[in-house]
Amino acid sequence: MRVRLGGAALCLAAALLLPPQEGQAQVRASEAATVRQTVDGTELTLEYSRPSLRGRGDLFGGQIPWGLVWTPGANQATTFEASGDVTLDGVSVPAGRYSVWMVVAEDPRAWELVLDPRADLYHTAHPGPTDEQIRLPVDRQEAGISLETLTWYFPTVRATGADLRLHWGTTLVEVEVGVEPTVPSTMSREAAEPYTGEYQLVRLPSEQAQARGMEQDTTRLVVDWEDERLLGHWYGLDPGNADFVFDFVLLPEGGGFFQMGMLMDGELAEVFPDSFWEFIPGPDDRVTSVEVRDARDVLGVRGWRSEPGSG
Amino acid sequence: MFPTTRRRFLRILPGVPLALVATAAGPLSAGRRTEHPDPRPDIDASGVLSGEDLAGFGPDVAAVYDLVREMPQIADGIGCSCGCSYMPSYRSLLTCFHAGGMAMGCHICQGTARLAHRRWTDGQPLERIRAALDARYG
Repeated sequence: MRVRLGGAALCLAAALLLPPQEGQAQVRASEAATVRQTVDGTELTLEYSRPSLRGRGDLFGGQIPWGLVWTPGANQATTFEASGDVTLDGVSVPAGRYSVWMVVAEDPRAWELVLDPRADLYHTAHPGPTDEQIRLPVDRQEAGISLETLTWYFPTVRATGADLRLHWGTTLVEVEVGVEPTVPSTMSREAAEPYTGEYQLVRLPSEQAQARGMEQDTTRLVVDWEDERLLGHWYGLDPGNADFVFDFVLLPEGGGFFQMGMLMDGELAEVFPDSFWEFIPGPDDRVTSVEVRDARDVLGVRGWRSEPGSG
Repeated sequence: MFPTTRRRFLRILPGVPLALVATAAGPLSAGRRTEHPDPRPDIDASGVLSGEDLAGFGPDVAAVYDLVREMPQIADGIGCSCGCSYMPSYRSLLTCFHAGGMAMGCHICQGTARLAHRRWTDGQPLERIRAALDARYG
């Protein structure tokens, strides 16, 4: 009898280890999922399995007891991977892949998020504290709606980061992810000073633009320093609307080169790396002219410094 | 003042539609610091493609090859930050414009060559040209 039981157990174990055959059911109680978000070239990836409530109303403090180091997922521990250095709620997280854990507490303001560099752990590993872990306090919030299945998502994405949210039942935990900007958007007043002022700009239409009827025109650019940023205010771009001003941010690359950033509600929303501004200094190092070129270095706009009000 | 919209932003510059093509084709640089080789003292422009080799690429492209032909000793001292640098035949920006290079379809090669040529005709030495290229493409 003992031999027959052992054989059955062996068969069961073998069946569990073999890869599923085509057409064979592969239903999991907690299905695997991946959520991925790119921010300014940094890839953020969460891989996790998604448990469902299935009528359990006593999740935290019940099924998941207070004080447990719990992975917000199921099966293999949830993992967080960042392709570059990031911050979570201001705490530095070097690029890499981590298993994700939470210390659940009765006090909703005493929860803790734990990233463990041992990424491939099973959900029952419940790691104790180590020097290699990254720990940060998080708040448990109460959501207005209940989600049946545990969900990680990025509800808000910005040029400089994103909000990462865990939502299961009515429990919400959110952390702010910050990424390293590829191009700085700020400049000191001293560094910005040679560029500020007014310029007369001449747009030079490409052959295609000329074929569409676009003619060379003269417009006005005001460059000023506001909120630690070098801003361009471009007047006269819309002949049908004299009030139109095109506002953008100049992102310094060094050497007098700048990328152009689009602002929305005053915030950097998008950078176009393939058109660049080149500010050209005169003999006294004060900028006297400016050019806008495309990625092939083909000139699209040329300008000269002018005295305020002269244009 | 009217709100800035993305569509309006894209209309602004004559060069932007081309720039978006370049973005779709891949990142502006290969994502690593460009190393600049020492130019070979006896280098010449005999390997730079011309004429029928460039048929079908348009006069703008042929014009960039002509610029490189004028300054082989400068182009051979410049590293290119594009994907050419992964090819076995690559040595410098100059070889991007040889047979086997990809300058005819690469905005980075072309932009690097044009900017280098502008600075060279301004009388700047190789070191200053490299510094400008590093800021822009490096």
